[in-house]
Amino acid sequence: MTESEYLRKVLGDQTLADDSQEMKELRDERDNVWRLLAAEYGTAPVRRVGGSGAKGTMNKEDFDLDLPYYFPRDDDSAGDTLKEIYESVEGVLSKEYRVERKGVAVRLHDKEGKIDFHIDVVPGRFVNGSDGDAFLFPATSGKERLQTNLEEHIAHVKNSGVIDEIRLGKLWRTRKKIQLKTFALELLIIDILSGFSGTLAEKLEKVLIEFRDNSENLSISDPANTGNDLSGMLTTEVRNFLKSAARDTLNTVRSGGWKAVFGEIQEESSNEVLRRISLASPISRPWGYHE
Amino acid sequence: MSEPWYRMRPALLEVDRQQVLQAQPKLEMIDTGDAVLFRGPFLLEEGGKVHEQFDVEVAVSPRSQVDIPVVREVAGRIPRQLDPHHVIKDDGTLCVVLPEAYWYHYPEGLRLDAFMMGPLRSHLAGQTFVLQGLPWPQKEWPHAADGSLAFYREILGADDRAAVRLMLMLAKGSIKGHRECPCGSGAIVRNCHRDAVWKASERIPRELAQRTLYQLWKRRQGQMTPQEPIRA
Repeated sequence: MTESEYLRKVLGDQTLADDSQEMKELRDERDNVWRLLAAEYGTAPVRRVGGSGAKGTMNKEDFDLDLPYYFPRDDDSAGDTLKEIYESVEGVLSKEYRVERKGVAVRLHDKEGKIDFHIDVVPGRFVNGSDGDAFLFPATSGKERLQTNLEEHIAHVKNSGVIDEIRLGKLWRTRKKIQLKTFALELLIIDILSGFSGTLAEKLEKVLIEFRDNSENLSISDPANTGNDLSGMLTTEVRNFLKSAARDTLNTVRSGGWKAVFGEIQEESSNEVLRRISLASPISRPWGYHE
Repeated sequence: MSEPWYRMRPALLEVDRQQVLQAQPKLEMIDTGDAVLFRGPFLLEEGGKVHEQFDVEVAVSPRSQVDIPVVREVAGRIPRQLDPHHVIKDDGTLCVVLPEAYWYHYPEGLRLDAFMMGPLRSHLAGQTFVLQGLPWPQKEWPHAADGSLAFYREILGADDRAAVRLMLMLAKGSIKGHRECPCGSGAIVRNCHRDAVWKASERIPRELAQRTLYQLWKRRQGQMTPQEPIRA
Protein backbone atom coordinates (compact mmCIF):
# COMPACT_ATOMS: atom_id res chain seq x y z
CA MET A 1 0.00 0.00 0.00
CA THR A 2 1.36 3.41 -0.94
CA GLU A 3 1.53 6.29 1.54
CA SER A 4 -1.39 8.02 -0.18
CA GLU A 5 -3.50 4.85 -0.10
CA TYR A 6 -2.79 4.57 3.61
CA LEU A 7 -3.82 8.21 4.14
CA ARG A 8 -7.09 7.59 2.30
CA LYS A 9 -7.76 4.72 4.67
CA VAL A 10 -7.18 7.09 7.55
CA LEU A 11 -9.83 9.35 6.03
CA GLY A 12 -12.22 6.42 5.60
CA ASP A 13 -11.72 5.55 9.24
CA GLN A 14 -12.46 9.15 10.23
CA THR A 15 -15.72 9.37 8.28
CA LEU A 16 -18.64 10.15 10.52
CA ALA A 17 -21.72 8.23 9.41
CA ASP A 18 -24.93 10.19 9.11
CA ASP A 19 -26.67 7.70 11.41
CA SER A 20 -23.93 7.79 14.04
CA GLN A 21 -24.78 8.78 17.59
CA GLU A 22 -22.68 11.94 17.28
CA MET A 23 -24.61 13.08 14.19
CA LYS A 24 -27.97 12.27 15.75
CA GLU A 25 -27.09 14.28 18.84
CA LEU A 26 -25.84 17.14 16.70
CA ARG A 27 -29.07 17.21 14.69
CA ASP A 28 -31.22 17.06 17.82
CA GLU A 29 -29.38 20.00 19.35
CA ARG A 30 -29.60 21.93 16.09
CA ASP A 31 -33.36 21.41 16.07
CA ASN A 32 -33.58 22.54 19.66
CA VAL A 33 -31.65 25.72 18.83
CA TRP A 34 -33.96 26.51 15.91
CA ARG A 35 -37.01 25.90 18.09
CA LEU A 36 -35.74 28.19 20.84
CA LEU A 37 -34.94 30.96 18.39
CA ALA A 38 -38.17 30.57 16.41
CA ALA A 39 -40.18 30.87 19.63
CA GLU A 40 -38.53 34.22 20.30
CA TYR A 41 -38.08 35.78 16.85
CA GLY A 42 -40.56 33.95 14.60
CA THR A 43 -39.64 32.91 11.09
CA ALA A 44 -38.20 36.11 9.58
CA PRO A 45 -34.52 35.49 10.47
CA VAL A 46 -32.69 33.29 7.99
CA ARG A 47 -31.31 30.00 9.33
CA ARG A 48 -28.27 28.50 7.69
CA VAL A 49 -26.09 25.49 8.34
CA GLY A 50 -22.32 25.64 8.02
CA GLY A 51 -19.30 24.08 9.65
CA SER A 52 -17.33 21.00 8.69
CA GLY A 53 -20.45 19.05 7.67
CA ALA A 54 -21.39 21.65 5.07
CA LYS A 55 -17.83 21.93 3.81
CA GLY A 56 -17.21 18.18 3.61
CA THR A 57 -14.27 18.39 6.03
CA MET A 58 -15.78 16.53 8.97
CA ASN A 59 -13.67 14.03 10.92
CA LYS A 60 -14.78 11.73 13.72
CA GLU A 61 -12.21 13.30 15.99
CA ASP A 62 -12.93 16.85 14.95
CA PHE A 63 -16.33 18.15 13.92
CA ASP A 64 -18.50 21.17 14.47
CA LEU A 65 -21.71 22.75 13.33
CA ASP A 66 -22.02 26.45 12.55
CA LEU A 67 -25.53 27.84 12.65
CA PRO A 68 -25.62 31.32 11.16
CA TYR A 69 -28.79 33.12 12.19
CA TYR A 70 -29.17 36.32 10.23
CA PHE A 71 -31.83 38.99 10.62
CA PRO A 72 -33.08 40.78 7.51
CA ARG A 73 -31.70 44.30 7.07
CA ASP A 74 -34.87 46.01 8.27
CA ASP A 75 -35.73 43.58 11.09
CA ASP A 76 -35.05 45.06 14.52
CA SER A 77 -36.85 42.39 16.57
CA ALA A 78 -33.59 41.44 18.30
CA GLY A 79 -32.22 44.97 18.51
CA ASP A 80 -30.93 47.87 16.44
CA THR A 81 -27.20 47.27 16.66
CA LEU A 82 -25.17 44.14 15.97
CA LYS A 83 -24.15 44.08 19.61
CA GLU A 84 -27.80 44.10 20.68
CA ILE A 85 -28.61 41.30 18.21
CA TYR A 86 -25.70 39.22 19.46
CA GLU A 87 -26.64 39.74 23.10
CA SER A 88 -30.31 39.10 22.47
CA VAL A 89 -29.63 35.78 20.74
CA GLU A 90 -27.10 34.90 23.42
CA GLY A 91 -29.76 35.61 26.04
CA VAL A 92 -32.34 33.38 24.36
CA LEU A 93 -29.85 30.52 24.03
CA SER A 94 -28.72 30.88 27.64
CA LYS A 95 -32.22 29.79 28.74
CA GLU A 96 -31.27 26.22 27.88
CA TYR A 97 -27.49 26.27 27.41
CA ARG A 98 -24.37 27.54 29.02
CA VAL A 99 -23.10 29.92 26.38
CA GLU A 100 -19.55 30.90 25.59
CA ARG A 101 -18.51 33.85 23.45
CA LYS A 102 -16.26 32.61 20.71
CA GLY A 103 -15.31 35.22 18.12
CA VAL A 104 -18.44 36.07 16.14
CA ALA A 105 -20.23 32.99 17.48
CA VAL A 106 -21.99 31.75 20.59
CA ARG A 107 -20.67 28.28 21.51
CA LEU A 108 -23.16 26.00 23.25
CA HIS A 109 -22.50 23.77 26.25
CA ASP A 110 -24.87 21.97 28.57
CA LYS A 111 -25.98 23.92 31.63
CA GLU A 112 -23.36 22.26 33.82
CA GLY A 113 -20.65 23.09 31.31
CA LYS A 114 -19.61 19.43 31.06
CA ILE A 115 -20.67 18.82 27.47
CA ASP A 116 -19.49 20.83 24.50
CA PHE A 117 -22.11 20.35 21.78
CA HIS A 118 -19.67 21.49 19.03
CA ILE A 119 -22.33 23.97 17.91
CA ASP A 120 -21.63 27.64 17.18
CA VAL A 121 -24.59 29.93 16.63
CA VAL A 122 -23.57 32.98 14.61
CA PRO A 123 -25.97 35.91 14.99
CA GLY A 124 -25.83 38.62 12.35
CA ARG A 125 -27.71 40.95 10.06
CA PHE A 126 -27.79 41.00 6.28
CA VAL A 127 -26.05 43.93 4.68
CA ASN A 128 -28.89 44.24 2.16
CA GLY A 129 -32.31 42.62 2.23
CA SER A 130 -32.26 39.04 3.39
CA ASP A 131 -29.51 37.40 1.35
CA GLY A 132 -25.81 37.64 0.56
CA ASP A 133 -23.25 39.38 2.76
CA ALA A 134 -23.88 39.75 6.46
CA PHE A 135 -22.54 41.89 9.28
CA LEU A 136 -21.41 39.96 12.34
CA PHE A 137 -20.47 41.12 15.82
CA PRO A 138 -16.93 40.07 16.80
CA ALA A 139 -17.75 39.82 20.49
CA THR A 140 -14.28 38.91 21.66
CA SER A 141 -12.19 41.25 19.53
CA GLY A 142 -13.44 44.69 20.57
CA LYS A 143 -14.33 45.61 17.00
CA GLU A 144 -17.71 46.95 16.04
CA ARG A 145 -18.54 44.71 13.13
CA LEU A 146 -17.22 42.35 10.51
CA GLN A 147 -18.66 41.82 7.05
CA THR A 148 -18.56 38.38 5.49
CA ASN A 149 -20.43 35.79 3.46
CA LEU A 150 -20.93 32.25 4.72
CA GLU A 151 -21.82 30.80 1.32
CA GLU A 152 -18.56 32.08 -0.09
CA HIS A 153 -16.62 30.53 2.78
CA ILE A 154 -18.29 27.17 2.26
CA ALA A 155 -17.85 27.32 -1.52
CA HIS A 156 -14.20 28.38 -1.14
CA VAL A 157 -13.42 25.29 0.92
CA LYS A 158 -15.80 22.88 -0.81
CA ASN A 159 -14.49 23.76 -4.27
CA SER A 160 -10.86 23.98 -3.26
CA GLY A 161 -10.02 20.51 -4.57
CA VAL A 162 -8.03 19.82 -1.39
CA ILE A 163 -10.75 18.50 0.93
CA ASP A 164 -8.80 15.34 1.79
CA GLU A 165 -5.70 17.37 2.59
CA ILE A 166 -7.76 19.67 4.81
CA ARG A 167 -9.29 16.73 6.67
CA LEU A 168 -5.87 15.24 7.29
CA GLY A 169 -4.53 18.64 8.32
CA LYS A 170 -7.37 19.02 10.83
CA LEU A 171 -6.75 15.55 12.22
CA TRP A 172 -3.06 16.35 12.58
CA ARG A 173 -3.82 19.67 14.30
CA THR A 174 -6.26 17.99 16.71
CA ARG A 175 -3.87 15.21 17.64
CA LYS A 176 -1.03 17.69 18.09
CA LYS A 177 -3.33 19.93 20.17
CA ILE A 178 -2.49 23.04 18.15
CA GLN A 179 -4.79 25.96 18.99
CA LEU A 180 -5.36 27.05 15.40
CA LYS A 181 -8.92 27.80 14.28
CA THR A 182 -10.32 25.47 11.65
CA PHE A 183 -11.11 28.28 9.24
CA ALA A 184 -7.53 29.57 9.44
CA LEU A 185 -6.12 26.08 8.88
CA GLU A 186 -8.40 25.56 5.87
CA LEU A 187 -7.31 28.84 4.31
CA LEU A 188 -3.64 28.10 4.94
CA ILE A 189 -3.84 24.65 3.35
CA ILE A 190 -5.76 25.94 0.32
CA ASP A 191 -3.23 28.73 -0.13
CA ILE A 192 -0.16 26.52 0.28
CA LEU A 193 -1.46 23.90 -2.16
CA SER A 194 -2.65 26.40 -4.73
CA GLY A 195 -0.90 25.46 -7.97
CA PHE A 196 0.90 22.51 -6.37
CA SER A 197 0.29 19.07 -7.81
CA GLY A 198 1.26 15.75 -6.32
CA THR A 199 -0.09 12.74 -4.51
CA LEU A 200 -2.08 13.09 -1.30
CA ALA A 201 1.03 12.22 0.75
CA GLU A 202 3.15 14.71 -1.18
CA LYS A 203 0.61 17.46 -0.69
CA LEU A 204 0.33 16.83 3.04
CA GLU A 205 4.10 16.88 3.27
CA LYS A 206 4.22 20.15 1.32
CA VAL A 207 1.84 21.75 3.85
CA LEU A 208 3.99 20.62 6.78
CA ILE A 209 7.20 21.78 5.09
CA GLU A 210 5.67 25.24 4.72
CA PHE A 211 4.64 25.21 8.37
CA ARG A 212 8.16 24.16 9.38
CA ASP A 213 10.18 26.45 7.12
CA ASN A 214 7.97 29.44 6.66
CA SER A 215 5.79 29.77 9.73
CA GLU A 216 6.77 33.44 10.29
CA ASN A 217 5.46 34.45 6.87
CA LEU A 218 2.18 32.54 6.81
CA SER A 219 -0.78 34.83 6.16
CA ILE A 220 -4.49 34.43 5.60
CA SER A 221 -7.21 36.59 4.11
CA ASP A 222 -10.98 36.21 4.15
CA PRO A 223 -12.10 34.94 0.72
CA ALA A 224 -15.43 36.71 1.19
CA ASN A 225 -13.92 40.04 2.20
CA THR A 226 -10.24 40.83 1.74
CA GLY A 227 -10.70 43.78 4.09
CA ASN A 228 -11.14 41.45 7.06
CA ASP A 229 -7.93 41.16 8.99
CA LEU A 230 -7.56 37.54 10.06
CA SER A 231 -3.93 37.82 11.16
CA GLY A 232 -5.07 37.65 14.79
CA MET A 233 -5.67 33.94 14.27
CA LEU A 234 -1.95 33.42 13.65
CA THR A 235 -0.32 34.54 16.87
CA THR A 236 3.39 34.06 17.50
CA GLU A 237 2.54 31.19 19.83
CA VAL A 238 0.46 29.44 17.14
CA ARG A 239 3.20 29.96 14.54
CA ASN A 240 5.78 28.44 16.90
CA PHE A 241 3.54 25.47 17.64
CA LEU A 242 2.97 24.89 13.93
CA LYS A 243 6.68 25.02 13.26
CA SER A 244 7.76 22.58 15.95
CA ALA A 245 4.87 20.14 15.43
CA ALA A 246 5.50 20.11 11.67
CA ARG A 247 9.21 19.49 12.22
CA ASP A 248 8.51 16.56 14.56
CA THR A 249 5.95 15.04 12.18
CA LEU A 250 8.21 15.33 9.15
CA ASN A 251 11.00 13.60 11.08
CA THR A 252 8.58 10.84 12.08
CA VAL A 253 7.40 10.41 8.48
CA ARG A 254 11.00 10.17 7.29
CA SER A 255 11.79 7.36 9.72
CA GLY A 256 8.50 5.45 9.89
CA GLY A 257 6.14 6.74 7.20
CA TRP A 258 2.69 8.23 7.76
CA LYS A 259 1.59 5.12 9.64
CA ALA A 260 3.95 6.19 12.42
CA VAL A 261 2.02 9.48 12.60
CA PHE A 262 -1.61 8.38 12.34
CA GLY A 263 -1.35 4.74 13.50
CA GLU A 264 -2.71 1.40 12.29
CA ILE A 265 -6.06 1.26 10.50
CA GLN A 266 -8.14 -1.87 10.69
CA GLU A 267 -9.05 -3.26 7.27
CA GLU A 268 -12.72 -3.60 6.33
CA SER A 269 -14.06 -5.88 3.62
CA SER A 270 -15.98 -4.32 0.71
CA ASN A 271 -19.20 -5.78 2.07
CA GLU A 272 -18.56 -4.20 5.46
CA VAL A 273 -17.87 -0.85 3.81
CA LEU A 274 -21.01 -1.10 1.65
CA ARG A 275 -23.12 -2.09 4.63
CA ARG A 276 -21.86 0.93 6.52
CA ILE A 277 -22.55 3.18 3.51
CA SER A 278 -26.04 1.74 3.15
CA LEU A 279 -26.79 2.71 6.74
CA ALA A 280 -25.10 6.09 6.59
CA SER A 281 -28.07 8.21 5.53
CA PRO A 282 -30.91 8.63 8.05
CA ILE A 283 -33.41 8.37 5.19
CA SER A 284 -31.86 5.44 3.33
CA ARG A 285 -34.88 3.12 3.60
CA PRO A 286 -36.32 2.63 0.11
CA TRP A 287 -40.01 3.19 -0.57
CA GLY A 288 -42.23 2.71 -3.61
CA TYR A 289 -44.89 5.02 -4.93
CA HIS A 290 -46.89 2.11 -6.36
CA GLU A 291 -48.97 -0.28 -4.32
CA MET B 1 -45.83 24.79 -15.00
CA SER B 2 -43.45 27.67 -14.41
CA GLU B 3 -39.96 27.84 -15.90
CA PRO B 4 -37.54 25.37 -14.23
CA TRP B 5 -35.27 27.04 -11.69
CA TYR B 6 -32.17 26.07 -13.67
CA ARG B 7 -33.37 28.01 -16.71
CA MET B 8 -34.02 31.10 -14.64
CA ARG B 9 -30.77 30.87 -12.67
CA PRO B 10 -28.21 28.96 -14.76
CA ALA B 11 -25.37 30.14 -12.51
CA LEU B 12 -26.85 28.06 -9.68
CA LEU B 13 -26.97 25.01 -11.92
CA GLU B 14 -23.30 25.54 -12.75
CA VAL B 15 -22.48 25.56 -9.02
CA ASP B 16 -24.45 22.32 -8.62
CA ARG B 17 -22.67 20.81 -11.61
CA GLN B 18 -19.25 21.57 -10.13
CA GLN B 19 -20.21 20.16 -6.76
CA VAL B 20 -21.75 17.02 -8.24
CA LEU B 21 -18.68 16.38 -10.37
CA GLN B 22 -16.45 16.87 -7.37
CA ALA B 23 -18.46 14.25 -5.49
CA GLN B 24 -18.94 11.90 -8.46
CA PRO B 25 -16.29 12.73 -11.08
CA LYS B 26 -17.44 10.16 -13.64
CA LEU B 27 -20.89 11.64 -14.05
CA GLU B 28 -21.58 13.99 -16.92
CA MET B 29 -24.20 16.72 -17.09
CA ILE B 30 -26.46 16.56 -20.13
CA ASP B 31 -28.98 19.24 -21.00
CA THR B 32 -31.55 17.70 -23.33
CA GLY B 33 -33.53 20.90 -23.64
CA ASP B 34 -36.44 19.27 -21.82
CA ALA B 35 -34.44 18.18 -18.80
CA VAL B 36 -31.08 18.40 -17.10
CA LEU B 37 -29.54 15.01 -16.36
CA PHE B 38 -26.42 13.73 -14.68
CA ARG B 39 -25.50 10.48 -16.33
CA GLY B 40 -22.67 7.96 -15.96
CA PRO B 41 -21.00 5.65 -13.45
CA PHE B 42 -21.87 6.39 -9.83
CA LEU B 43 -18.97 5.19 -7.70
CA LEU B 44 -19.38 3.70 -4.25
CA GLU B 45 -15.91 4.68 -3.19
CA GLU B 46 -14.23 4.91 0.15
CA GLY B 47 -10.67 4.99 1.34
CA GLY B 48 -9.40 5.31 -2.22
CA LYS B 49 -11.12 2.10 -3.35
CA VAL B 50 -14.19 1.74 -5.55
CA HIS B 51 -16.25 -0.99 -3.88
CA GLU B 52 -19.09 -0.97 -6.42
CA GLN B 53 -20.52 1.19 -9.16
CA PHE B 54 -23.83 1.65 -10.96
CA ASP B 55 -24.63 3.46 -14.18
CA VAL B 56 -27.23 6.01 -13.27
CA GLU B 57 -29.22 8.88 -14.68
CA VAL B 58 -30.26 11.55 -12.23
CA ALA B 59 -32.85 14.05 -13.46
CA VAL B 60 -32.63 17.40 -11.71
CA SER B 61 -36.00 18.44 -10.34
CA PRO B 62 -37.32 21.43 -12.30
CA ARG B 63 -39.31 22.59 -9.27
CA SER B 64 -36.53 23.48 -6.89
CA GLN B 65 -32.82 23.09 -6.34
CA VAL B 66 -33.43 21.02 -3.23
CA ASP B 67 -36.37 18.91 -4.41
CA ILE B 68 -36.04 15.12 -4.67
CA PRO B 69 -34.47 14.21 -8.03
CA VAL B 70 -35.64 11.28 -10.18
CA VAL B 71 -32.99 8.54 -10.35
CA ARG B 72 -32.75 5.60 -12.73
CA GLU B 73 -30.21 2.81 -13.05
CA VAL B 74 -29.59 2.61 -16.79
CA ALA B 75 -27.36 -0.43 -17.35
CA GLY B 76 -30.06 -2.95 -16.42
CA ARG B 77 -28.12 -4.38 -13.48
CA ILE B 78 -30.97 -3.73 -11.10
CA PRO B 79 -34.12 -5.58 -12.18
CA ARG B 80 -37.22 -3.43 -12.67
CA GLN B 81 -39.06 -5.01 -9.77
CA LEU B 82 -40.79 -3.20 -6.98
CA ASP B 83 -40.02 -6.14 -4.70
CA PRO B 84 -37.36 -6.44 -3.55
CA HIS B 85 -35.52 -3.76 -5.56
CA HIS B 86 -37.87 -0.79 -5.14
CA VAL B 87 -37.71 0.02 -8.84
CA ILE B 88 -40.80 1.18 -10.75
CA LYS B 89 -41.42 -1.30 -13.56
CA ASP B 90 -42.74 1.23 -16.08
CA ASP B 91 -39.93 3.73 -16.09
CA GLY B 92 -37.11 2.24 -14.01
CA THR B 93 -37.25 4.93 -11.33
CA LEU B 94 -35.49 3.98 -8.12
CA CYS B 95 -37.62 4.74 -5.08
CA VAL B 96 -34.75 6.19 -3.13
CA VAL B 97 -36.54 8.01 -0.34
CA LEU B 98 -39.92 8.39 1.30
CA PRO B 99 -40.81 12.07 0.73
CA GLU B 100 -42.14 12.51 4.26
CA ALA B 101 -38.89 11.18 5.72
CA TYR B 102 -36.87 13.41 3.38
CA TRP B 103 -38.56 16.65 4.47
CA TYR B 104 -38.74 15.57 8.10
CA HIS B 105 -34.99 15.03 8.27
CA TYR B 106 -33.94 17.75 5.85
CA PRO B 107 -36.42 20.64 6.25
CA GLU B 108 -34.30 22.82 3.99
CA GLY B 109 -33.90 20.01 1.47
CA LEU B 110 -30.63 18.72 0.06
CA ARG B 111 -28.59 20.14 -2.77
CA LEU B 112 -27.96 17.63 -5.54
CA ASP B 113 -24.43 16.65 -4.45
CA ALA B 114 -25.61 16.13 -0.87
CA PHE B 115 -28.55 14.03 -2.08
CA MET B 116 -26.22 11.92 -4.19
CA MET B 117 -23.62 11.40 -1.49
CA GLY B 118 -26.27 10.85 1.19
CA PRO B 119 -29.52 9.01 0.42
CA LEU B 120 -28.64 7.91 -3.12
CA ARG B 121 -25.23 6.53 -2.14
CA SER B 122 -26.83 4.61 0.72
CA HIS B 123 -29.59 3.36 -1.55
CA LEU B 124 -27.17 2.01 -4.14
CA ALA B 125 -25.02 0.39 -1.45
CA GLY B 126 -28.20 -1.30 -0.19
CA GLN B 127 -29.01 -2.50 -3.72
CA THR B 128 -25.69 -4.40 -3.80
CA PHE B 129 -26.97 -6.59 -0.96
CA VAL B 130 -30.36 -7.12 -2.57
CA LEU B 131 -28.58 -8.16 -5.79
CA GLN B 132 -26.83 -10.85 -3.72
CA GLY B 133 -30.25 -12.10 -2.55
CA LEU B 134 -29.83 -10.54 0.87
CA PRO B 135 -32.26 -8.20 2.64
CA TRP B 136 -31.88 -4.42 2.60
CA PRO B 137 -29.44 -3.57 5.45
CA GLN B 138 -31.37 -0.34 6.05
CA LYS B 139 -34.76 -2.11 6.01
CA GLU B 140 -37.59 -0.91 3.73
CA TRP B 141 -40.70 1.20 3.90
CA PRO B 142 -43.91 -0.48 2.73
CA HIS B 143 -45.03 0.82 -0.66
CA ALA B 144 -47.32 3.75 -1.43
CA ALA B 145 -49.60 5.09 1.32
CA ASP B 146 -48.61 2.26 3.65
CA GLY B 147 -45.06 3.64 3.70
CA SER B 148 -46.30 7.06 4.77
CA LEU B 149 -48.54 5.46 7.36
CA ALA B 150 -45.59 3.49 8.75
CA PHE B 151 -43.52 6.65 8.88
CA TYR B 152 -46.10 8.54 10.99
CA ARG B 153 -46.51 5.45 13.17
CA GLU B 154 -42.77 5.46 13.78
CA ILE B 155 -42.38 9.09 14.69
CA LEU B 156 -45.23 8.78 17.18
CA GLY B 157 -44.32 5.30 18.36
CA ALA B 158 -48.02 4.48 18.06
CA ASP B 159 -50.57 2.64 15.87
CA ASP B 160 -52.30 3.31 12.53
CA ARG B 161 -55.16 5.23 14.13
CA ALA B 162 -52.70 7.60 15.77
CA ALA B 163 -50.84 8.00 12.47
CA VAL B 164 -54.08 8.88 10.67
CA ARG B 165 -54.99 11.37 13.41
CA LEU B 166 -51.62 13.06 12.97
CA MET B 167 -52.06 13.15 9.19
CA LEU B 168 -55.49 14.73 9.63
CA MET B 169 -53.98 17.41 11.84
CA LEU B 170 -51.20 18.04 9.33
CA ALA B 171 -53.58 18.03 6.36
CA LYS B 172 -55.79 20.63 8.04
CA GLY B 173 -52.81 22.62 9.29
CA SER B 174 -54.41 22.68 12.72
CA ILE B 175 -51.54 21.93 15.07
CA LYS B 176 -51.99 23.50 18.48
CA GLY B 177 -50.10 22.70 21.66
CA HIS B 178 -53.25 22.56 23.77
CA ARG B 179 -55.03 20.05 21.50
CA GLU B 180 -55.18 16.36 22.34
CA CYS B 181 -52.07 14.50 21.20
CA PRO B 182 -52.70 12.33 18.12
CA CYS B 183 -51.01 9.36 19.81
CA GLY B 184 -54.22 8.75 21.80
CA SER B 185 -52.68 9.07 25.27
CA GLY B 186 -55.26 11.68 26.28
CA ALA B 187 -52.52 14.21 27.12
CA ILE B 188 -52.23 17.49 25.26
CA VAL B 189 -49.64 17.78 22.48
CA ARG B 190 -47.46 20.15 24.52
CA ASN B 191 -47.05 17.55 27.26
CA CYS B 192 -46.80 14.54 25.00
CA HIS B 193 -45.35 14.17 21.47
CA ARG B 194 -44.54 17.87 21.24
CA ASP B 195 -41.25 17.46 19.33
CA ALA B 196 -42.46 14.93 16.78
CA VAL B 197 -45.72 16.75 16.08
CA TRP B 198 -44.02 20.13 15.92
CA LYS B 199 -41.32 18.85 13.59
CA ALA B 200 -43.84 17.13 11.34
CA SER B 201 -46.03 20.22 11.08
CA GLU B 202 -43.10 22.55 10.43
CA ARG B 203 -41.35 20.36 7.92
CA ILE B 204 -43.61 18.01 6.01
CA PRO B 205 -45.53 19.69 3.18
CA ARG B 206 -49.23 19.62 3.94
CA GLU B 207 -50.02 18.15 0.52
CA LEU B 208 -48.14 14.95 1.39
CA ALA B 209 -50.45 14.24 4.33
CA GLN B 210 -53.48 15.19 2.22
CA ARG B 211 -52.36 12.89 -0.58
CA THR B 212 -51.80 9.92 1.71
CA LEU B 213 -55.18 10.41 3.39
CA TYR B 214 -56.79 10.58 -0.04
CA GLN B 215 -55.10 7.36 -1.12
CA LEU B 216 -56.15 5.59 2.06
CA TRP B 217 -59.70 6.83 1.59
CA LYS B 218 -59.75 5.71 -2.04
CA ARG B 219 -58.45 2.31 -1.11
CA ARG B 220 -61.18 2.01 1.50
CA GLN B 221 -63.71 2.85 -1.18
CA GLY B 222 -62.23 0.03 -3.26
CA GLN B 223 -61.51 2.43 -6.10
CA MET B 224 -57.80 2.10 -6.25
CA THR B 225 -56.15 -0.13 -8.79
CA PRO B 226 -52.96 -1.92 -7.75
CA GLN B 227 -50.80 -0.07 -10.28
CA GLU B 228 -52.11 3.43 -9.76
CA PRO B 229 -49.16 5.68 -9.03
CA ILE B 230 -49.00 8.07 -6.11
CA ARG B 231 -46.43 10.60 -7.17
CA ALA B 232 -44.57 13.00 -4.90
